[in-house]
Amino acid sequence: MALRESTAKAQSSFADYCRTGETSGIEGAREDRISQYRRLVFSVVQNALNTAYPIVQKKYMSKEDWESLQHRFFSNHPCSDPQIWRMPSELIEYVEQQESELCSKYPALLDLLRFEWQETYLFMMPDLELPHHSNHCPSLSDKVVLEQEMQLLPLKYPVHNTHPSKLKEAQAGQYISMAWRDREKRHVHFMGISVFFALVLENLNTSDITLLEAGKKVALQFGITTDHWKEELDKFVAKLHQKHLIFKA
Amino acid sequence: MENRKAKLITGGTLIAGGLLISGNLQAEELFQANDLGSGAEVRAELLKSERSVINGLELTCGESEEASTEASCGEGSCGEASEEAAAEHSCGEGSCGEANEEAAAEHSCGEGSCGEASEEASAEEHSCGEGSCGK
Repeated sequence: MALRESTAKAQSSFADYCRTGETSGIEGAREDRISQYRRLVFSVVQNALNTAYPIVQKKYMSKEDWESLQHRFFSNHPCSDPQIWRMPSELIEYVEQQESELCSKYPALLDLLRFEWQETYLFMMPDLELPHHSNHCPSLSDKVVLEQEMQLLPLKYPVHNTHPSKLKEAQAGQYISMAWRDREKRHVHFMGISVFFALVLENLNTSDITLLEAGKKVALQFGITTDHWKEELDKFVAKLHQKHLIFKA
Repeated sequence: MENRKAKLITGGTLIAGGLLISGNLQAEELFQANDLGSGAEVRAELLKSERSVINGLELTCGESEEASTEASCGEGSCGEASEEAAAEHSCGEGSCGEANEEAAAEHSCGEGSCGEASEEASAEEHSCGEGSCGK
């Protein structure tokens, strides 16, 4: 049923007030009562953000900066997802687009937000069926099947293995946080892997090629002239197979 | 179950030799693969100085001991939690039970209800998507 124009306008003004705290003459609203709605709504948002990003909140940003960011985010960003647990993911987009000054002050902020969200995302993601495969550990000459409930997150700072207090001293570079959801217990697990291995996995995921072919391609990109990488790749694949992340096709 | 191939890389692109630019890439860095453990273990490590023991993100389903540390709730209920243990657990659509001190102040439920809480955990501080907050 369509709302009357005046009702829709009042609702919209009320929603704006809940987000910004700025009243714009909502008819019939009492100042001493309406503020309770904003307090309660913002509390929900704040709790969702604190829960999603405990490391950013407690260890990386100052309390003042974090709370100020939460206010700016809720006031300025048109959150679009109706599910509250998804809302914190929109903070990443907001920070990336609107908070360049804050990112200068906290260079690893975006990485840390993405890293913390990676766990929630994988934990809550829809089930993905594993393609048909054997249970054997693949050799380099084999084509493989990769775990689908797995994600590689490229990072500029090593937020996945560095205490937040040490991040200021950390060297910017390219780091990879590999995360996956255990199919039995549904826990999310993490591994820090090199760019070399990440590129091999990406090639395997996007092309119908063998481990050897993928390895050769990446070794060439890196300008590696010896065959040492084959032994290392073999060890890496065995490690992934133990964790049920790669199988012989 | 959905049957589709997942995108493997998220939030950026990989550049071969991205670390080579920094000029100090060692062989062990080129071929490193370090197990970091579960999300709860990683968090405990990164929050270490204040919290030597964190029971993790996915706290409490059922009543087993194991569940109390890392069980996950898709649409379940979270049981009793104490102090910091509950700080980092989240439920998709569940209800969070009794909690105390700062615990309830920091956990959230997608669509659930938050139960009894004490001290700092006043009703206005804990959140429910579409639920009710207890006393």
